[in-house]
Amino acid sequence: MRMRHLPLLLGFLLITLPGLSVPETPEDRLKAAYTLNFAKFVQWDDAGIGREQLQVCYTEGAAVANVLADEPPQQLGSRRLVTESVRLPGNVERCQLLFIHEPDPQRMRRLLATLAELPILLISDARDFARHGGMIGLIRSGNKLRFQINLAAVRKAGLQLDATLLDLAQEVIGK
Amino acid sequence: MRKGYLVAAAYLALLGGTPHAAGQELLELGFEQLMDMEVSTVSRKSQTLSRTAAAAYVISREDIRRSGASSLPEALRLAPGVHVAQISASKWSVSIRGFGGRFANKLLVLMDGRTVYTPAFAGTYWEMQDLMLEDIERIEVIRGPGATLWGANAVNGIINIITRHSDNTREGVTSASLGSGERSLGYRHGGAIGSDGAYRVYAKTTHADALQDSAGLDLDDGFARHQAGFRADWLGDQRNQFSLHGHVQHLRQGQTLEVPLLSPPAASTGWLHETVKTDSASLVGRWQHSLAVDSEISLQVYFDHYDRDELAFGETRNTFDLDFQHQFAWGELHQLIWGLGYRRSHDDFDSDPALAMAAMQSKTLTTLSTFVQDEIELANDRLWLTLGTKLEHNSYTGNEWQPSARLLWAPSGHHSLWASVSRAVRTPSRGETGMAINYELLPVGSPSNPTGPFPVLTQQRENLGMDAEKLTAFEVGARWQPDPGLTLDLAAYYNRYKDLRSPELLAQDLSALPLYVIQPNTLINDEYGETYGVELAGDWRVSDAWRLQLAWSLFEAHLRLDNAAAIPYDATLLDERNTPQQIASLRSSWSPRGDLDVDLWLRYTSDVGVPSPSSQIVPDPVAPYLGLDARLAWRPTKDLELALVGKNLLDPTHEEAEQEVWPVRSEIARSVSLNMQLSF
Repeated sequence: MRMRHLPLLLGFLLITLPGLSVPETPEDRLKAAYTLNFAKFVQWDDAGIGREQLQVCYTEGAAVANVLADEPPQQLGSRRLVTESVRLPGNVERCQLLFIHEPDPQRMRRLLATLAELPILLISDARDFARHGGMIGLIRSGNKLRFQINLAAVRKAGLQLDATLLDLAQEVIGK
Repeated sequence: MRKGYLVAAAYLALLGGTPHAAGQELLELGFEQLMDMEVSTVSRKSQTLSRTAAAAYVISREDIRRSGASSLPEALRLAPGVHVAQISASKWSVSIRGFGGRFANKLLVLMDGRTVYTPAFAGTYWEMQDLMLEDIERIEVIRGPGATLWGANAVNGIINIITRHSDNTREGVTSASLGSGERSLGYRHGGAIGSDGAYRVYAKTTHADALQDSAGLDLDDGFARHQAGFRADWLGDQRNQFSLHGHVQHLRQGQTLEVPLLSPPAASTGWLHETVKTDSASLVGRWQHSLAVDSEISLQVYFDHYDRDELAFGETRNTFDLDFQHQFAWGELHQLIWGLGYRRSHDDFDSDPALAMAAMQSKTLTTLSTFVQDEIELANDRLWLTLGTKLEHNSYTGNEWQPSARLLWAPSGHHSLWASVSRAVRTPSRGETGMAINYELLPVGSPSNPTGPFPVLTQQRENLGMDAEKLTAFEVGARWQPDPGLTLDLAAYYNRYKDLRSPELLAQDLSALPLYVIQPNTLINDEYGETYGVELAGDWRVSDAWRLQLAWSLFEAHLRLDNAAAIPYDATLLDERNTPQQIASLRSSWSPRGDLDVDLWLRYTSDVGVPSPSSQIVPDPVAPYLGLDARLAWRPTKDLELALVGKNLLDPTHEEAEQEVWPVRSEIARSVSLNMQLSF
């Protein structure tokens, strides 16, 4: 490589070095990957929902926010995928999946009470999410990511989950 | 030549293969692979700031812990654009975008929804604000007017201290600190209330030693503060949430003031030392209710009491406040919030007439307010316009409107630009309108009284017709996250003030001759002008174990008087010069091992001029200083943390600020302390 190309390469390095030295938070990407994968295993009682298009929503501050805003996937099999950020209390009726970020535990439980009967798959990484009425809670098990399912909450919303997903879950509540 | 380009191309290909690939990849991994992946230990940053159309900064629990701060004002130094200066062992000056001082009056401070601003001087007694710092969830610092949502006096900023939900503090914690200047001991115990609630109770005691002045004289300004409090939260039938907080505090602080001594045979200036005793208590209740998925209401009630036993400004104050808010979505594009507020504050003043006298011993101030704000989504997930206004009726100036308009553009989740225009108002205080204060004795031969023939006593007299100060603020800002580990936050502002407090000289009063001549003045609203500045915050996670944070701000003020010809000195000097032109801070947080922290904090403040209220000469400004704080922490077990904290390590002593009235300058000393925190 000739010396005169050194400035060019240094320029590349300067722009990209921060990106190389700080890997994107794997936990956020992992949670985003889990969330999108759950979509493959959900069916709605009302067969009209989620047939052509799936709307994946997330609240402000959600772990998946940056990942999904940055790299929104467009397709899930034959269905179109749309990702959107929502602010609660707000319009969530058009969502099929909702990843909730709410650090206040009792505000979270109030939210779950109001969202309970809507046909939306509720996912979060909040503590005890499934136990408090959420549908799928993401938890850290050691340094791996696992999930718990509250089947009663799923059914109450008019959703069905594939049996394979139930097998993969660390815990299934409300069978 | 070609080889060079090949290398570059390979480099780019390498980049393409890193996590910056397209999102479809996320779906291609099946659960078997996902469940095998390991998660790193880097904690996730909150992303909520990217959707705020204001110069906001959040001080997290982690930031407070690693800074070594042992009091609220010290913790506030972590935010850019906040000028924090220690006046004495117990007194602090905290301000944003100018107009600082012990009696700074353009900042609104809230603790869990309770306003800790006092109408005595339209500011905050920082020595009365304390809690167990471990129980703070976060401190939100918003620079600029927040008057639309928060009301009058949120002129230059709002500081919102939010404590942790009691669900998250169910274990016990003991926290002790043994230091060269201060010692404290705190204990907190938490638990559950049935299956739907939680509570915590705490008790804390703090003792601080006195500081000295530049000549080495003991200023006897140490303090002892004893405080206890609680918080309880519980959930009723899933749609209702209740919260109750309370505290009691007993504070004894030493205070040395340089005051005019007016008894025969001659008037002179001397030191007055006293012990100020303050008792305070509060109770706050809050109810939140979800009406529907997209609609919720909240109601807050609080009682606040304090009794300050001080020679000059002895005061008992009782406040009752009621606040109602309704937040709901209207259609697809509007997010509305509106509210009603009622506050009643009753006071009784008791001053020593040698120093001050209240024209009206007792007054009840009533404030009624209503506000509405609409956040409109103009372009799907990209552009928002927020319009709002608050209408407040107060006992001094009647109706005040405080509208604002904010625009936020977020072209991506990582970058956003915002701009705003707002109007804010600062209501007059009891101290300005209704008190007579003996400020300063100017001896014959001094620069402000060169020929005499008598000493002159400057004295403030009451003016019940004082008007509210007004601000029109223009702000812009940008947030940029070029990389998940690097965030930059920039804000710039241009503030136009009018009707700022200024003196009006009255006819000389010769009733005290031959001891001295009285030069009285009242406070009117003849000062106006501009301030402008820039604030920058940077956050760089260099690696999993090392984080760097930068805060930097610049400030300029140009103020003028309408009645300049009638005042023989430059009365705008105090307001223009008592805020430093530059404040900078750089923090390094390094964890070489999971159980070790090495934290360094370098702080710079440029010089601060502190002219006395009646003198045209700036006596001698407080010099610029560079401060270094260091903290070494070790966690031998997961429940115990030991930390060695050094503050102000670069100079044995330095000065930061002095009080505006009767000032005596304290030297802030270097200190070291050993802290312990045990959970059980």
